[in-house]
Amino acid sequence: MADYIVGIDLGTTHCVLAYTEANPEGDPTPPRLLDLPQVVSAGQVQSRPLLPSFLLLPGPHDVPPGSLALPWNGELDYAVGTFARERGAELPARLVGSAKSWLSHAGVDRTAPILPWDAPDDARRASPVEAAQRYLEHLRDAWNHHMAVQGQPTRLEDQTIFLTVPASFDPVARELTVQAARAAGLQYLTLLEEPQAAFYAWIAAHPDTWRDAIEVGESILVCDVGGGTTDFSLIEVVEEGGALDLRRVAVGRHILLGGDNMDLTLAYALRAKLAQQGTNLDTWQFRGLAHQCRAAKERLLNTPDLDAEPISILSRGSSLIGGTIRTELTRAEVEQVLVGGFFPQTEFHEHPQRKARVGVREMGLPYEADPAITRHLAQFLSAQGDGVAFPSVVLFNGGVMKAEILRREILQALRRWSGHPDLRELPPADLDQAVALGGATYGTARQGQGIRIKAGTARTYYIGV
Amino acid sequence: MHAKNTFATQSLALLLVGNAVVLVTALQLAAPYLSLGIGAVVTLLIWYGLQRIAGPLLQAPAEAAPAPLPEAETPPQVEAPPRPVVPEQPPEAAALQLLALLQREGRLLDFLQEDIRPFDDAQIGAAVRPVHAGCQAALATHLPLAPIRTEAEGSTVTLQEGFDAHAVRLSGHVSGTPPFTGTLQHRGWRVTEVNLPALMQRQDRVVAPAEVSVG
Repeated sequence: MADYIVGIDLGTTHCVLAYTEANPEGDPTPPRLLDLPQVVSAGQVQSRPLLPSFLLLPGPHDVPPGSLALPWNGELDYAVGTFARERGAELPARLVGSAKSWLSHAGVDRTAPILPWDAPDDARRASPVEAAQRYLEHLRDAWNHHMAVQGQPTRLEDQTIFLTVPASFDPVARELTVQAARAAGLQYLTLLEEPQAAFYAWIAAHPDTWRDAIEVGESILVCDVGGGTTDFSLIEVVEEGGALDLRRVAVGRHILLGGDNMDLTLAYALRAKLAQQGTNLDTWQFRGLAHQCRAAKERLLNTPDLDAEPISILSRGSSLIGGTIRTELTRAEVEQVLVGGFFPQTEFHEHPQRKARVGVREMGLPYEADPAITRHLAQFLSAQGDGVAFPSVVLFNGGVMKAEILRREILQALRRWSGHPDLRELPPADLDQAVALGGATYGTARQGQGIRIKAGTARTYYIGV
Repeated sequence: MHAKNTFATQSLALLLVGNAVVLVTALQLAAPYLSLGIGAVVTLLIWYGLQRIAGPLLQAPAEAAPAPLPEAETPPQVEAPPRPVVPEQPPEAAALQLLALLQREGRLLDFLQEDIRPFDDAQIGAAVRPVHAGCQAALATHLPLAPIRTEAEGSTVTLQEGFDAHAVRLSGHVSGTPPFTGTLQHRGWRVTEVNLPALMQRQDRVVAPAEVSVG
């Protein structure tokens, strides 16, 4: 019998694990996140709530010997998480990223050691499945370590696990995800689609008010724009035998377009601006620029009265001040790139440009040619038949949708397309953690002891399965 | 999977029984060719019947609600990996670690080690921005701070008998016994949490490795 119900978000850019007691003595406790110890720099380990989904496969000279040790394993020859991402940025031929997108890429053998893509012949490689397995093993070991330290030696292998996958994952990608989880020793598994998990997280975050926010029969658009991918799905709220149920009625394709593309586009725009002034950046400086662009963009988006954010790119050498390059990111640039490029106000009949096929050797990830998320959304909605109602509510998910200005653009487009000015958004929860928390919430709801949803009258609803 | 396997076994058994019955009947008729023919027809009939019954079972149901996946048949036995041997740290380990951390996240050592005299203020200011942002974030993560006194600086505060002379430092003409009344000049800082990463290796004096880019 499992002691805990666990939700795992095996994300494109980071993984999160949320858990709650399976058989609470009193009221069920809301799910909480597991702190995930990870190597943060060579030879140093710290806990973070997010585990970046990166796998570093270093060569013999890339990291000091023994510097990838974790509290539960002193002999690791690979790294997962923060250090993998940071050090891997300096060693691109050693870094596996976006394994989840590879997992859903039908154009390659997903069980063959093909990553890092384009690495030299003598490099170590892993398959997309193996990368997913390493992330899950890390979560497993972090769990087992944490519980052992707490004097409660309950193993993740024995818990009831709800592992989330994009609704757009094809059966093969789902099967491979299960295969990775099995290889990591996880057995009591249920796959849950991410939009549903996001929805349960929203319900859990608004236990008293959610019933007033939606009605039975409504069609809800889940608009999930994460670090690397965008997914759209439509969920209908139905009532069956007094219980509320969610029915997924439409799923879009897995769109390889996300926040990372936006940050990079901003950085390229600034690099072009600097080049016009005669300053050229090397790769290392460009990475610094991209890093600062992301931070500056977030400050600009969160502070409406800010017009520009200064950006200083430090030189790589120890002489700091003389080599500093100064520029700024303006609000106009952010709006032009993000709103104009990624969230333009397009018409409903405007769909993304079809990507030209570039021969058979085009084997890398099929990134989108058209960055306009609104055009992808219009395509998704117009592909639905007459039986599917146009959404009247939007639930946003994914880190990008934290920016209110971008949510507003999506809402404005939807209102214009539908002719319904009262089309509304559900108040967002914590968009980085929602999917994992929703997974655990769903698990408790399934047991019938989770969210008790009280109606306005004396009736009591349970979330049905 | 389980239901499917059981069903397959049962089907096989049924086919065998059916064939045996046909064979026995055929032998009684003493017409071997006919018996083979009847056998084949009966086998086909049984198979057709089974397909009709089993159709829904064998086809993957198109379900929207996720069902728990069946358990793996043999859970892989995981051998416990060796625990790391964390060496004893020198007394100065935390100081060195903090220096390395502020350099890594905010380039603080580069900044402090540089001769800033030849540069004008605007240039220094530009370089300070990322140093400040990086070091501030590092402090917030690893050594978050809170003021000791929450009153506004410049306001009048009164210190009662038994105040913590370690956390509040008096200056000026102090005489007699508390309560003391004075002006708050500085709110003070206290580290509220110490969240330094755990050292898995002996901290040496390398606080920023030399960097060489190859290729």
